[in-house]
Amino acid sequence: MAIDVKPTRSQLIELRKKIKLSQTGYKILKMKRDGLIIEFFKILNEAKSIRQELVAKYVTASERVGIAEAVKGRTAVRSAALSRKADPDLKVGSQNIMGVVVPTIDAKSIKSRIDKRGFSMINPSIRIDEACDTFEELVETIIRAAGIETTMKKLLDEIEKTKRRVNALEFKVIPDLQEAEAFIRLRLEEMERENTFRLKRIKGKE
Amino acid sequence: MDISELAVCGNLDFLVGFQLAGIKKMFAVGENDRFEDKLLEAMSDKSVGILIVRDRDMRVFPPHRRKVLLDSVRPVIISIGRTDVGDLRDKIRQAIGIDLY
Repeated sequence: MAIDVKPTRSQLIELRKKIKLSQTGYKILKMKRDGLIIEFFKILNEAKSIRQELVAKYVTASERVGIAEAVKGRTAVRSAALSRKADPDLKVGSQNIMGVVVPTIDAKSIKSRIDKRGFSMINPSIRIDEACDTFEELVETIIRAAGIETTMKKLLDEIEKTKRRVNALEFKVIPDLQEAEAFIRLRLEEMERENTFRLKRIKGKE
Repeated sequence: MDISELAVCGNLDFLVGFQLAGIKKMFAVGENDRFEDKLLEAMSDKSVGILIVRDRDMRVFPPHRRKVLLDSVRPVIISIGRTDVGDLRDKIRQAIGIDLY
């Protein structure tokens, strides 16, 4: 027996309380685990598609920059990059999903009009503008991916943690407590029988 | 909600496209710099909300260290240019018990 117990009635009451509490905790944790898995499934497909989208957009965007560099020259592209205005701001908040705090990321002003970019209007280049457009799209996807992937990682961590707790309660804590309870119950019954027998013997001697 | 910034860490060729998209916070890794040092510098910057890195650069780290870095929540590190999703797939398999990815 894993738990060292004294076979007394107060211990039995105490153990019964503990078993009840553990069983309630087990049910709640099981519900939490199921809830987290449902939340995880909600974002799984989105997470799968966004990663593929991210890779595809990065490849396109890199190609566009390569074309712009080939057509206008590396210096012109670097110069355009340095003259670019507007830094996208992110609003990072948090949301609570079944006790798991996940980030919510909101971004504004990623896409900008050509005349607001800060590039020279004297010598415009469609190649650089195209590269700009694709990278703006890529950044938007990155922001979405950051939110989804972080949520998914945090949910997975919590699912694993909850699963371990549920398993520990189901296969270790509750069975040990029940075993200890059965031991005390049987021992008390035995003591009661011994006592009855003793009383009968004493009564028989009288 | 906190206002954060997007940042990019990598060599100059990697940064230029993001500069075109308007990102100003750059952690350029020069020829004499170590990527690891720049990444840690970027991560210690409290204003950074999302840090964009290239998957190829992240491969310099051993798998365990890479996993710890990619699991960071503040800043969220997004590694791009990756085609396989081994880390996430392993994580899902470990947590759920089946391969869903």
